[in-house]
Amino acid sequence: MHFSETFSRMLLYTAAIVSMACVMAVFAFLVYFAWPVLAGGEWKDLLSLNWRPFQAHYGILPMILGSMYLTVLAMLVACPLAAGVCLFCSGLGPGPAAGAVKALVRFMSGIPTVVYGFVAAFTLVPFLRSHFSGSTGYCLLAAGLILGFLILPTIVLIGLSALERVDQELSLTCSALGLSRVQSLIHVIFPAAWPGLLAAVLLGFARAVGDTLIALMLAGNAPQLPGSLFDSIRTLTAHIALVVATDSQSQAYRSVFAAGCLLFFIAAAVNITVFRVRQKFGGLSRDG
Amino acid sequence: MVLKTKKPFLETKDLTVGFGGQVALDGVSLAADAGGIVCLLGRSGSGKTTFLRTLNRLNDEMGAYTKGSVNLFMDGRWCDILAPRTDLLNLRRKVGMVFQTPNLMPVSIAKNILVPLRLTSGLGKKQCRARMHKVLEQTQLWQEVGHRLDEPGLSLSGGQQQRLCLARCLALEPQILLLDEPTASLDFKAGRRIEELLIHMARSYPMLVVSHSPAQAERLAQAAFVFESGKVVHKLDKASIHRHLLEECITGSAK
Repeated sequence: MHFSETFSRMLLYTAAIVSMACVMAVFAFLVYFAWPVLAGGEWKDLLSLNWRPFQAHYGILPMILGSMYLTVLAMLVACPLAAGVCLFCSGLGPGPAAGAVKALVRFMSGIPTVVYGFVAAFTLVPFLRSHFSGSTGYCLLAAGLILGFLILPTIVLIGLSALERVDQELSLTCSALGLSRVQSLIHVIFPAAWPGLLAAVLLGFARAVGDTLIALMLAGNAPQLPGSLFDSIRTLTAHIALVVATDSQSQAYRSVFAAGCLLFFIAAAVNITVFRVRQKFGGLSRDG
Repeated sequence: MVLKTKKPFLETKDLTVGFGGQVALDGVSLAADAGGIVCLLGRSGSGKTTFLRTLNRLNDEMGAYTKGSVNLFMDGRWCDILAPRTDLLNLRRKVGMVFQTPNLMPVSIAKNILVPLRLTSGLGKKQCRARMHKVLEQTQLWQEVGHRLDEPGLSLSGGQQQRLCLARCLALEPQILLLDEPTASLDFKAGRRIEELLIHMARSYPMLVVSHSPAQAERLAQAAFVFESGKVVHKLDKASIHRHLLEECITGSAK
């Protein structure tokens, strides 16, 4: 075996082992810090609706539900838009316009999250405040809409690459069968690319669950169950950021590590699902 | 339906096709008769596949320019398929094509036939299933897959996949069949089975088959055209198609 091959192999093994060790270290770190809360029998209290740290109530259920509501809303905004953009860029739109939209989406993916939050805080939030009485504007809807736009490039770019792979193989077949471009895309290419599209949606979901800044800047951060789209919420990620920024010793501080563990499990579950979907259906689909 | 032999179905005059600055076909003029398989032979890059893809205007999808005239006999009349008003979707439904590699959709065996059929024919569910049964019988697949139509098409063997592609094509009831090296990706046995099928089907469809193999052309063809550098350099009829002569034609040593 050549030296260069051995060296490359060792480099790859080292990279893989270091990555795995980092992930395990993060998990161990989270469990270590959350352990006093979990072992002290306070985990039941963790799943209560009360977050009153000064009265020793460390319930993070409102934050778990807040994260869930916000993620679902962002997905509801992003998925239909992403499907439309993917269809437009895959051949439904005229070539130059499709190219321009694709370039715009790529540009969007490079905009820092804080810019989205900043722009929304000065445009969308005042708009919601003035048009919907009783709302401060910092609410589930504001955060959901902007988070939807934030994860849109992730879903579109991964989805488009899945569609392009399938398109290369099947578009000529579809044309030879006398199918129009619309028929090909909707009835053949889209269904054939579903594992890749599902991976795009799941990675968008993971991005939405894990985002901190939009929720922190726009959702209002009240640890409560929202009654409507115009109510303030606090997400798990924003909660961790807020507590860690102001505390470093108390039980409340330790409880956020339990929230961290939960986020870690969600991220792991999404990644394992993506992996399993690709493994199970990769061979039976064109988007292997 | 059995075709009358020696009835012409294809005529091209000064056909030139290019991609950007590259000329792929250079003034090809030929005429072909129905009632048997017409083979197109030649070395890689000689223009066989480009010629085949001109007949269903598939080259248009790859940004090709086309000059000259191509007439196909369809619906009882000659059609100038390069005319600007040609309905490409309709043309491609009438001129069926099977590719070198089986290119099934990643859906069930049944859906591989039913999806394009429903989309292009407007037939009802029952009629579509009846048509599917018919074409699977025609391609000798019914015995093998009739009991597992809901299984993925991609789980079939290479030969079965290629026959399914043929069945999918036949389901649209084409009037002319184009086959681009249909046995190239198959083993000897599966390839021979496809050949037998083609010989049988040539009674019902005018058929053009691109092949690299003089031996295959000898087994299949009623007529053969040998391409070289985008031109037709030899035309052979059934009586003159012999493996060795074809080899000489392809290598350029024939007079």
